[in-house]
Amino acid sequence: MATECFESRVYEIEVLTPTVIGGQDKIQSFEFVRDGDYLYFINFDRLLEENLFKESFVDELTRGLSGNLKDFNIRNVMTKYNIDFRRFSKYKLKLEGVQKLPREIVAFVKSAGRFYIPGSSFKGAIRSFVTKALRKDLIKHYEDCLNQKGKVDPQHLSSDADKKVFSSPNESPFKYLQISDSSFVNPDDAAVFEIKVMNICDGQVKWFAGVKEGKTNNVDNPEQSSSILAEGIKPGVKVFGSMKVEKDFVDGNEVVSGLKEKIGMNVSVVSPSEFLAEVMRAVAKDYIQREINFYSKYNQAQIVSEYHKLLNILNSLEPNQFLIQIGFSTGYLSKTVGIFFTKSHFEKLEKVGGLSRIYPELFPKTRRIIFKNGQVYTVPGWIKVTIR
Amino acid sequence: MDVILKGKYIIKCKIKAVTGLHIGEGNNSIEIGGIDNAVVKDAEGKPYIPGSSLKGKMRSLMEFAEGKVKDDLMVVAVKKGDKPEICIHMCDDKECPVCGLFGRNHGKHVTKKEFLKDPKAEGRDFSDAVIPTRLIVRDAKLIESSITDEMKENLDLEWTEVKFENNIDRITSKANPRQSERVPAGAEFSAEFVVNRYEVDGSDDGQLYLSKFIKAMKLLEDDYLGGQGSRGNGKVKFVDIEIVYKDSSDYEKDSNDLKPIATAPSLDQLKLATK
Ligand SMILES: [Zn+2]
Repeated sequence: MATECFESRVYEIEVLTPTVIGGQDKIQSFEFVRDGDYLYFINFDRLLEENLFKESFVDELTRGLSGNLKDFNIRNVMTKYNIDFRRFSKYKLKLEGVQKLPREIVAFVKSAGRFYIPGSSFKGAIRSFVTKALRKDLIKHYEDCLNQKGKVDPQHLSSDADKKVFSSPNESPFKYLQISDSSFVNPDDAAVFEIKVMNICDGQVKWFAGVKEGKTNNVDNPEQSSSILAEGIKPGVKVFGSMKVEKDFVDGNEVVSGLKEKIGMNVSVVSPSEFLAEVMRAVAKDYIQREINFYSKYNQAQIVSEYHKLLNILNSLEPNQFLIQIGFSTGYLSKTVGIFFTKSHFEKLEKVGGLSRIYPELFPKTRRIIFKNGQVYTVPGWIKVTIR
Repeated sequence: MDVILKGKYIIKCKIKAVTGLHIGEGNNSIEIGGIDNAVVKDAEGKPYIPGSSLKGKMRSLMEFAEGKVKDDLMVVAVKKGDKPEICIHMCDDKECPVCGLFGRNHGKHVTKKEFLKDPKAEGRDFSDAVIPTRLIVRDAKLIESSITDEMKENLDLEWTEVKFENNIDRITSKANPRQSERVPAGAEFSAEFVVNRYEVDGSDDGQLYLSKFIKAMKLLEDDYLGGQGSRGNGKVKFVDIEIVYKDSSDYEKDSNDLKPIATAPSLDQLKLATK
């Protein structure tokens, strides 16, 4: 049993649907060149270093970058000076059925230029899923947070409940869950994906098309709607890292009880990592079922079928495997305890300042959907995890 | 107690950051929560791994592995009012591998058990058992070439990157971004450890503490070093290991051309000769 405490295990993540872990940056249009189905991301350091002697080129580049960027086309400038953009790119990514090319792209998080899945994002997703498995009396702490009087900070509304349920970071059961950053992802295994925002208006599916005269504009035809482009990892790609699930994660310590006591389900397995996997599978199943109901109601056959595929995978998993949703554009329900909230909770949430609009009757009423070749394709961020 | 220095095992290796590494500036050897912001740097502005961080982390991992994390075996190192804030293991058991390798302090120590009963307990000192610490851990310097030009082009700062982490509010889903500096994965540091071999009251350590130290290295590889380790950072690997034994008689000779007693590209391939 002792080895269970010290030895870390290998985790394998298999990306099932396009997965975007957004870094802090947006890539602007002058930073890439489009060539057919590919975007080449320019390495400005090398471009300048190797072309410093071409004074007029440097001038033109500097003028372009400091002026009105809308009129600036990096490709034209490079062509004019006979500079091959391919030679001065950091990496290239395929446009995965992208139809609209907006002025910026959500950058995937990188370490020294290399794509990876941070342990913090993976652990954060596990934590979000764990909150969806909490006992009803613990969920109550989150509901109580909505009754806070006076000025509240939307970034820290759940702090009191987090503390009551999991104690301080020094004692929290999550201290006993170690997850390393993943191995690096080759840019060939990444691509640029097109995301659109589905919005349910008066019971009908509409697509977000920007803000017009201070009002959000939603349209019937997705072709006329806005697109968010993001760097993501392609389905089928696998990454690896190490993970340690200690006994105290399940059993707790002298200050705070472990997850076994906190969750509202019976889990009988002995190994901490299989315990985690079983809880995650149960949460994913419930969550996917709810999403299938939602999309069925609004006749989104493609998404319903995508979720059925996920459900089939989920039902055939081994005890050391689970599914989880991770990253950018995965939505309110994925990240919060809101799956348990009712109209009256959302009415209270509406009063918290600094949030986008809350519709207590139906919240959230938007979903972010990945498009391919102009068609509804899938939902982002589903991964399959195996702990070895 | 009679203590004779028999010789020194000198362990040279590289510490490779398998994931980003954050050893905070104000970090003491025992980590408390996550300290954001800058990593510790040397006089030349290059990040390094302080020997104290390495030693402190290895000690705490050994305490667990040797079954020393018990209220009557831990002493209160830092207290906060009537509460023990930081406890480490320390005892007067002369055979204790943790104290034997990592050392004991002079002065009075109150065990956690005593402290919880009476925060004003006087404690006792372990002076009878105190001998010079066997393990010496040097600061590990960055190997500059391990951060390639290609990596450097993509770094936010000269040797390091800034990592953003979002704490998500579980009710509003609002993100609360925090940033911290870290040395990127792939960076290597040159490390050196010394394990003193003593003869205590006629009993020779032999390779006992060297093998305990190698155990501590293995434990560290399966854990993390520095801050935010449970959320991705600080996975390290010891590579290009070379162990030299210097007998105390060797110090009287002119030549210091010593053959390593073991070399290995990684810990799992390291074999100590039995004698
Ligand atoms: Zn001891």
